[in-house]
Amino acid sequence: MSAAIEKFGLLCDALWAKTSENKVPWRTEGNLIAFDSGPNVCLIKRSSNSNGDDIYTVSLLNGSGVVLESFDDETLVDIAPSSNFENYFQLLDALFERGRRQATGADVALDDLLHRLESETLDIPF
Amino acid sequence: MFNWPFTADATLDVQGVGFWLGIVGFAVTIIGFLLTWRKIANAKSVAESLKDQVLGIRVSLDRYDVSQEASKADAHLKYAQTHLKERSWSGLAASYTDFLRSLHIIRQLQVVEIEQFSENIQSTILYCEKLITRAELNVNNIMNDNDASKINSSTRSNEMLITSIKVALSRSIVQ
Repeated sequence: MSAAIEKFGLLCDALWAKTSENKVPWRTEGNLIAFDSGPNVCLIKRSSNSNGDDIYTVSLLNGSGVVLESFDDETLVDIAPSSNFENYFQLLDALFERGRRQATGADVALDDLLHRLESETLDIPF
Repeated sequence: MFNWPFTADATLDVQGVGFWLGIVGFAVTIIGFLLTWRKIANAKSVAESLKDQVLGIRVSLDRYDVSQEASKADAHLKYAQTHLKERSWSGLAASYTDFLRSLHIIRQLQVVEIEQFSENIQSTILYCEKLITRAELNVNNIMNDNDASKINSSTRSNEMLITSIKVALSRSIVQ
């Protein structure tokens, strides 16, 4: 196994850990989520592979939009994530969903609604 | 008494009476025509209303068939998920073949309420065909975890499509 693949795995693990703590400023557009890291951009794109199944591609771009590095979940089939996921497809699938929810504000809206429901009596019309 | 119209003195009177009789006859003809036309129109509207009712019944039956088939499709996907857990390509091929049959039936029934999903149904049919071919080629192999995860994710998307179809149908029934 190459050192690069190990690094790709570590990057995915770190992204999942930080996203779980709500510490990655994800933004979203269509089938991708992205965040700025200094002068570079990290993005995760969801598309279909030749079988028609989902494939997640992680890319690192510099400030000029040039791709510095790119890999997908199928590159990582021979290594296992450090978290509870069976494989990196599952991790990236969950990461994409969570990142998208954070970017759209769905999580914040849900937390806000839960907080209101707990703290005050809402006038629900039914 | 009856030969006065044939006398020379009555010529003008006869012409006058004939004129008015002609007018009355014309009016009666028009009224008769209108009555006949109304009867025909009524008969036609009855036939059309019968035709509409028959069409309505057919649409309701098609909706019912789609609803039934969507429930079957859902069950086939549940079996597919069980086979994915068992990592069984042969089981997956069998349950996806059944799911594909249900999708074909749903597509062919052409119910208006699910027209919005026709592109999704078509792409899902293509996905199923590819997956079945792949599963049949791998029938003697054990499925790896990565393939199982990916197919499971696609299966969840297919479940969402079926759920959307069911919701669209139930909305139309409520309306």
